[in-house]
Order: sequence, then C-alpha cells, then structure tokens
Amino acid sequence: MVMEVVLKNLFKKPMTIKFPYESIETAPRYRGKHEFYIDRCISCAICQRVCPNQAIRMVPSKNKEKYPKLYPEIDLGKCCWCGLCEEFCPKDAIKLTQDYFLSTFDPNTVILPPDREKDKSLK
Amino acid sequence: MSEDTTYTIPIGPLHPAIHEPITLKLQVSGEEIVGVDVICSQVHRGIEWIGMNRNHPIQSIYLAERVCGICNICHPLCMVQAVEKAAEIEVPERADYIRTIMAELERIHSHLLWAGVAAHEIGFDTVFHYTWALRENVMDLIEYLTGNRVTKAIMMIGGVRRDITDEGAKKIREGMKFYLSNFRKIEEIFLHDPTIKMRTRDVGILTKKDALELCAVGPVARSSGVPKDVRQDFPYAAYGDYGVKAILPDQYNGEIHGDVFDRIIVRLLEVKQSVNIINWALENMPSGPIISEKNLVRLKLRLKKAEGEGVGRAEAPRGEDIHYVRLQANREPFLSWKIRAPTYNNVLPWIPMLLGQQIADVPIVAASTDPCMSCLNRVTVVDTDKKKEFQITKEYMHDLSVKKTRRLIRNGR
Ligand code: SF4
Ligand code: SF4
Repeated sequence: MVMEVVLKNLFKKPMTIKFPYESIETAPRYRGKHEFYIDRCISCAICQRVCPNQAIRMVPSKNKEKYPKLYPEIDLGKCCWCGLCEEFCPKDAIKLTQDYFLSTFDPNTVILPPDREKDKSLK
Repeated sequence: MSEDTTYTIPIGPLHPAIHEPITLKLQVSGEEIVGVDVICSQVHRGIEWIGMNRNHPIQSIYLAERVCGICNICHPLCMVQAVEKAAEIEVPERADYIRTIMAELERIHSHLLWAGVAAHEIGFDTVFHYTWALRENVMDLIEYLTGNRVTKAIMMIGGVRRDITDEGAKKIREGMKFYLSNFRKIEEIFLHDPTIKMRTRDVGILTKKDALELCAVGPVARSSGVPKDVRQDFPYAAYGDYGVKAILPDQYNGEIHGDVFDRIIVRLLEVKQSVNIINWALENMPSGPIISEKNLVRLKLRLKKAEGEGVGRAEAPRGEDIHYVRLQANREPFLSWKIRAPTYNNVLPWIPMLLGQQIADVPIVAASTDPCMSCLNRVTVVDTDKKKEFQITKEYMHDLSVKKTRRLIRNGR
C-alpha cells in the first residue's frame, strides 16, 4: 500500500508552478494595479478623501494645457487594495486591473503619476 | 540539585503560538510546569486611535480588516454591525446571507489552518501539508468571490460590496461537496490516529469551572463543555434563520475532557457545521439588493450626521468578538471605538491548562487555543542556582516536541 502511494506521487504533476515563467490566473474580481483614465476625471478629489491609507495625492499633470486641473497620483507602496477609490469615483476614472506584477527595483515606479503611459500589456 | 529546585523559563515576547508578542513565564520543576504567568500588551499598533482620529467609519472598515489576518471577515462584520446600530442603518436580507456565507468560509479556512498548525506542532508535517492543501480549495473560493485571498474588502456599512452570482453559487456548492467528501479522511487522520490521540488526550485540560471563571470563549470554551456560541445565543446576520447549535465534544463521543483532543473534535465538527450552514444559506438566499445605500458619498454624509452608540458581536473562528462604537454628529472619525478580540479571553486559560504539563507540551497547548503559530524565537533558561543563562531556540523546542511524539509511539508513555 505504501508502494502504491509512493508510485502515485512519483508520477503526479507537482503542486507548485515555475513563477514567474508561469503564473496562476487571477480571479475576475482580483484587485491589482490601478489604471487611470485622465479624460474621464473631473478632479473632484473624492478618491483622495476616501482612500484609507492616504495613498492618493492630487497633483498637476505634465500636460497643463490639455489637463489644467489636479489629478490623482497613486502611491502603490501605501495602497492596501481596498478598491474604495474605484467604487467612489463618480466617473469611473480609476479601475483596478488584474496586474499583480508589482515588485520593482526602482522605488520611483511605485508612484503612478496621473498622466502615465497606458500599460499596453493589459487586457 | 535539591528536589524542589524550580527554574523560570520566560517564553516570548515572541511566542510559539501567535504572531503577536506575548510573554509567558513558566516555572518548571524538572520537566513539570509548576507555575505560569502571562504578561500581555507587548504590542500596540494604535488601530483604535487611527479610527478615532484620522479615518472616517468607511475607511475604518479596512482597518478593522487588518486587526487580524485570519479573522478578516468577523472583525469588519462586527464593526459594521456596531456602526449600523449606532447610525440606524438597515441591512438588506440578501446582504445578511452573503455575510453569513463569507463568515462561514472564513471559519472553514481558519479551522483547517489551525488543524495543520497543530499537526506541525506535534511533529506531523505530512498532515500539516495535507490539511493546508485541502485549505487551498476554500482560499481559491474566497478569492473568486471577493477578489482577494486574505483581505477580502467585501464588508460595507449597510450591506456588502459584491454579490454572489449564479456562477459563484455553483462554485461554492462544488467546494462544499469537496469538503463533505473529504471530511471522513480528515476525521480519520485527526480523531482515529493513535499518535495524535496520545499527544493530545488529557493534555492541557481546562475544566468547565475554569472555563466559566476565566471567561474562555469560542472553541476553547465549547470543548470544556460550556455551550456558548454567539451565533446561537445572540444570532446576527442570517444565523437566526438557521438556528445554530453550539458544538460540544460529547456530540462526537459522549465525553467531555476539556483537553486538546476535545478542541480538535470541536473545530473539526465546526468545519462540517459551516459546510451545512453555507449550503443552507445558498438554498435560502433571498433575491434583492445587497446594500441599503448604493450611493457611497451619500452614505458617508449620513454617517457624518449620525449620533449614537452601538455594539457589534460576532462569533469569530476563535470565539466571541466585540466591537463598541460611538458616533458624534459632525465628527467624521469615531468618538470611541473599542475592540475586544477573542484571543484576549483565551490567554488566561493557558494558566490552568499548562500547570502540571511538560515543557514539550507547551507548543501544542498554547496552539490549541489559537490558530496562528509562528515565532518562538528565543527562550532564555535562567538557572538561578548556578547563575547561568542559556537559550532554548524554537528549533530546540520543536525538537523536544517531535521527540516526545516518537517516544510515545515507541513505548506508549
Ligand atoms: S485601492 Fe484603496 S488604498 Fe489603494 S489607492 Fe484606492 S482607495 Fe487607496
Ligand atoms: S479619479 Fe474619480 S474620484 Fe478621483 S478626482 Fe477623478 S473623478 Fe474624482
């Protein structure tokens, strides 16, 4: 009986996977890195006021002619992924994506400025 | 050395059974523990202070979630109940059922986690890995339903934030079937294995009298024969419709010892009970809204105007959890917020449990009241007679425990 179990386990697939070459699919409701749609934002600052961790700051954008107001800048290092900013935003300007590859060597990339490049790899 | 020489072994502030620092001073005479002193309050995170000074109630839900990594449904659930009472906010029925389902899923994962840790403590790592592999199933289910394995962010004042869809209900049913079909095997491993029985039967006994006097809560109290369970005594969410009965060990084998083995029985039976509650809740879940105030900005304004106080109670996997909240008009943070977590009550019972036991039993006895086992980093043994100090590491303690298991297997004592 012991042999049977040993043989079975020898030919079973391992329970682990080779991260980061493979990764497990996240759940559809997963809350990952924020996507921000600056054209929809009305600069109401509700997201800033609701964020429990004060991870959001309202800052001017680089393109001042087109976007003259203040827009949210998100500090991922402070974020607790509650999704309140997404839920409170009246214009759906913030969306939490499925992206969980957040580890980085450069601390500056942790802060997401409002007029950042859209991430092309996102679905 | 004379006969009555006793040594004092301080354990902690980092302790074998919990992440939170706590100090335990054990007096030992030979191998036997003759005196126990527990020193709490070694860590202060200022959670209540933040809730009373910086955050408004909606933000504090996510703070309450972080009181404990394992009980991250019952703390926010307890807090929102208190706020709902204080601000007189209604909760739709469907939200109550979703809350119940989430709380029971949490109980399943917490009890399985605990069972794995207990097995690890007595040196049974195969069982540890086996139970934790089983637990993955409920974790995946939780991730599917809420979007995260641990901090679920599903509670909201006046309801819940995410609905259970038909697809979700199907997944839950499959998951529950999985646990029912595997329950026999878990039971076989934990309750019929002679080694586990040898290490836990009549070890760490808490009598019914002590449990009542020291206000033990949750599975610890129930395994000593005190039929107390908030879901039964003061039903909240949808438990009133179900009619929960507190689980006592004598429902399994007709006896109550109040020992570690009984705590295993109670927790395993509760896993089964949770599966039944979830299945029942899915069958009887009414349709309708999941939150009473959909516009969250309006909810925030209403909370700002509210005045009053409320108490929330919930049966966490470890016992009764209480949150007290007081709101003042035109003041956004709570005027007062008090949390009483169940572990607080279950620490004092360690004293009668540990008296008369051996040092090798400390890990399993301490672990039997509380599911997180982490960092007994250093224990200093002070030999007062010889004025000599040396250290016992976690590994040494674990080794002692494993050796005792082996010894018991070999010669039965
Ligand atoms: S997810 Fe929560 S913590 Fe993170 S930025 Fe949004 S509101 Fe703040
Ligand atoms: S992202 Fe949304 S909530 Fe934040 S300022 Fe813009 S519109 Fe307002």
